[in-house]
Amino acid sequence: MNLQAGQLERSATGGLAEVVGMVLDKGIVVDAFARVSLVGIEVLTVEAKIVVSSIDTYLRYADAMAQLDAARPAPQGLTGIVEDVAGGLGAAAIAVQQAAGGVRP
Amino acid sequence: MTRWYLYGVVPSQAHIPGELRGLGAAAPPPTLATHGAVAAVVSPIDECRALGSRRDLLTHARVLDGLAGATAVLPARFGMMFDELETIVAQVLEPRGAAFSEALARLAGLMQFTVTVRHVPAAVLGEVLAADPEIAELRDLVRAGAARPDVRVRLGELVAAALARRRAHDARCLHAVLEPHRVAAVERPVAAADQAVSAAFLVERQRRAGFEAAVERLAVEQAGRARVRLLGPLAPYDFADALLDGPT
Repeated sequence: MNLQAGQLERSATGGLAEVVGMVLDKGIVVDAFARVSLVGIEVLTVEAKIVVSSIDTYLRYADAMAQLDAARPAPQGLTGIVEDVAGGLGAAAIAVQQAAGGVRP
Repeated sequence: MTRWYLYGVVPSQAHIPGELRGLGAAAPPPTLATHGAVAAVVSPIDECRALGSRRDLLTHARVLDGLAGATAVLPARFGMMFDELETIVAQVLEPRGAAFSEALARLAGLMQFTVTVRHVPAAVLGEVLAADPEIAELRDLVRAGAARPDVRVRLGELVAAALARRRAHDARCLHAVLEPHRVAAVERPVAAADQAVSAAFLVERQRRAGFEAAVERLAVEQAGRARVRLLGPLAPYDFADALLDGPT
């Protein structure tokens, strides 16, 4: 979302991916409720680590580099990796929902 | 049965912006439950459903970020609900009132901004390729289609390491450029493969324009190579825990 002209992407508040990283693992914790809802962010963190260190990721970097060409604006390999992380976010939100459901009386 | 959802803690004299709307279908405006110098920002919630939808998470953040534009605020983690307002006072405000009060005093006049710099993959891969003859050589092998799988893995490994070094370098540049304009900074974990750097900055309200201008200059400088995103003013998510746990 561009709120002003120029190169800078500007937003008053974050999108879902940014918000998940902030509201689920930061801030005042009072009782057991919040602890349980943290399951989601742990899932996300694990997935992010897998993405940056696996052989599969190396292969995608290699392919992205092999495809790199002045005539081609952007290799597709890295976009795929980013989408995987976004998929992980969806899973995290679902896990949170389930965890929150689990503690309701 | 009405329960109370907790967003965060503010000074008891804080003004809640009128446009804020809380969680739930009725989207009630948040109110304050006050105890001495501090107050909990809460809203009533009638539904029995589990919380955690995309909309719930965004609403929680919108309320906190809306408050951050108007007052010092300590954000609460997502998902805390209480049966009675009295319980919030007894369990949250009474036991930790002094610590909250002190942290809020230190946050007075400060706001968080988050800056994320994302590499444009083609541009940064081009830099990596031009800078490393071994990568260029392996890349030619892979490109010719004759490379064994271990050559592809080795190429990917080298590229990943080179990108990590560029991220570290970009992080140092980002912090150096913004250092004169902020009070405190925290590096945030990298959340996506093409994300170079993400960092949170605590900025004085009166110096906001200077900080924003510096980020904008960075965005112009990096154009074509990286995209710079500025979020804020936000609640001080990345600083509140440290302020509550002890001196920073």
